[in-house]
Amino acid sequence: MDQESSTDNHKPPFFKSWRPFYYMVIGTLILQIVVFYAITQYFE
Amino acid sequence: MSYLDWGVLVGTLAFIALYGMWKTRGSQNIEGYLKGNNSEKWWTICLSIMATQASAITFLSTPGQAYEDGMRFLQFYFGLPIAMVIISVSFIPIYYRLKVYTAYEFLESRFDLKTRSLAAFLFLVQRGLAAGITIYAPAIILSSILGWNVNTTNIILGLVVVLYTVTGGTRAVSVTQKQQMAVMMGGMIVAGIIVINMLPPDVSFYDAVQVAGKMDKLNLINFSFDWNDRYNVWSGVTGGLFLFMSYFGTDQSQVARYLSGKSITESRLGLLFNGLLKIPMQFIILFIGVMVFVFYQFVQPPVFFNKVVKERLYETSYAGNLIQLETEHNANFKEKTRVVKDMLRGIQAEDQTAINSARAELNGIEAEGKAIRNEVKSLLQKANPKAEVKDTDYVFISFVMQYMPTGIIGLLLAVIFCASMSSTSSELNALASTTVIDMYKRSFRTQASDTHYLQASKLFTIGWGLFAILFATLASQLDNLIQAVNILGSLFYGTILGIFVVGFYLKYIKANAVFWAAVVAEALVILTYTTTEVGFLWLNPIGCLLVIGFGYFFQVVLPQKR
Repeated sequence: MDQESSTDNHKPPFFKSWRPFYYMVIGTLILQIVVFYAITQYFE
Repeated sequence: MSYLDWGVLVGTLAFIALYGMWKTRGSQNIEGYLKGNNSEKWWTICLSIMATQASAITFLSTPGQAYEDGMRFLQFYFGLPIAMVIISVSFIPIYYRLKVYTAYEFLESRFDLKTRSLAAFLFLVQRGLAAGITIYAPAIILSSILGWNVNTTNIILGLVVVLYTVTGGTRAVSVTQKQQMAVMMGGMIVAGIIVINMLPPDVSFYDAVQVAGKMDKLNLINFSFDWNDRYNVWSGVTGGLFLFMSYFGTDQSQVARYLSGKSITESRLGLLFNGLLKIPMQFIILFIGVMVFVFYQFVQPPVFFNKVVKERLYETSYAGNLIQLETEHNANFKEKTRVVKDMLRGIQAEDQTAINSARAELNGIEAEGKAIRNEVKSLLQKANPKAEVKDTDYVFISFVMQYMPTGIIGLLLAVIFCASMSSTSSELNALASTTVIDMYKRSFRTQASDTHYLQASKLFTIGWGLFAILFATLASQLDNLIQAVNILGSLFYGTILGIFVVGFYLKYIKANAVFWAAVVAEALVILTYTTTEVGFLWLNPIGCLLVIGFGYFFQVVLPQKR
């Protein structure tokens, strides 16, 4: 595999660029924290 | 253990090892052996990264930790997705552009040979010792529970891993880790379903979760900041971020996993999906531990989960005291079950007064139960000062051995062995590539053929494998070794991360300054650990920030080359 062809311009699947994909990962983390907080409070 | 369990265990492990060897058979070159010919897709990378991180202790200790302490340990992983994004943005493009085999090669192109060698040396020391513990830790627990000889377990486990890692290199590690990860997650999900089905007929799943919540086991989130509290959102996001950036960004056992990717895209996706899946995976494992806890509210648990250590106490003059404590423990359990059932009726009737009254009563009963268990532990220590009195690691495996159906026991033991083998194979592969690329090829034998370096890589894999097995065998003669090696990791990770952070982001700081900053930072981290009470997780950011701070200082103070 020629790594020179592996440039930073490759797009992730379903997204136009990497930035929204990164936001999705961080957003999922925030969502998980909110859900876990809700679970903690609800069952306490 | 039944023949069926033996069949499932041996069959699973043998199939994975043989499949790995068969799949990676044929001629190889050094590129293929150390980087898997850059052929891996993102899902293989993701599973490989997860399997490398998940050691046997993950499956033995984590449910036990949830049993004792609830699910708050989950917060430790909150820094991980952020670390995955930072590594995807900053680290991966540079590693790909420089076409490196190891992370430490980057340091020579950015700084100089001595900085590269220092980071590679720190990695080899820390990871070389950790590889021995990765084999030893499950072996000591399994041998204690199953009565196997610990050294035989070490040697068999170690040799199987060495065999397929030497044969197929990085590709064999990735190929086998896919199967191992499938066994691990499949086995744990089956275990979770069975635990929930084993609850008493009048206790529904919702009731079980309610009971767990009322008994403070669903303590997933804690926003209050406290330096002394190891697990809260803030320590997880900050301390965890530094730890995971160092582990995934600079530890060759992880870097090698995503450098085997077909392209930057595949490597990034592998890392980012790890960021999406890791927290739910830990949630499942911790939740299984909580369900085991609920199960033991209705079925009597042992007073001490490490059966072998407890039974040795019966052979001493403390046997009478132990019997007395067990009687008190039984009475305490009956009382607790009665109150838990009262609470459950309150939950089902939505009677908050009954729930609150039961909770208040349970606090007292639980404190009494804890005091009884502590007395048993102090008896164990009186009888044998070297006895292992922490039984958290034995909670899940003793539950599996006592209550799981035939066949599932073999599957869950395979989970534990797969976890140990997947971590060890990555470690041996990374140790060999770092030794060959950063030491042997760079400083000792600079002009040899690819075939020579391929042979050297195989020999170093065998060498590190034998070292790990030997260390695992000697480990049983040393006290608190597991903790010592975990701390050893945190002692070095911060400094290594600091060197890389300076390399990536702080162009002003040059080679000599970062080298001496790393030496001073490492000394100060060790001094901090030996002279203060700072929790070892905090040593990661401390080490990193010290390298940055002293880097600036030395850059100003040291004479510059013209």
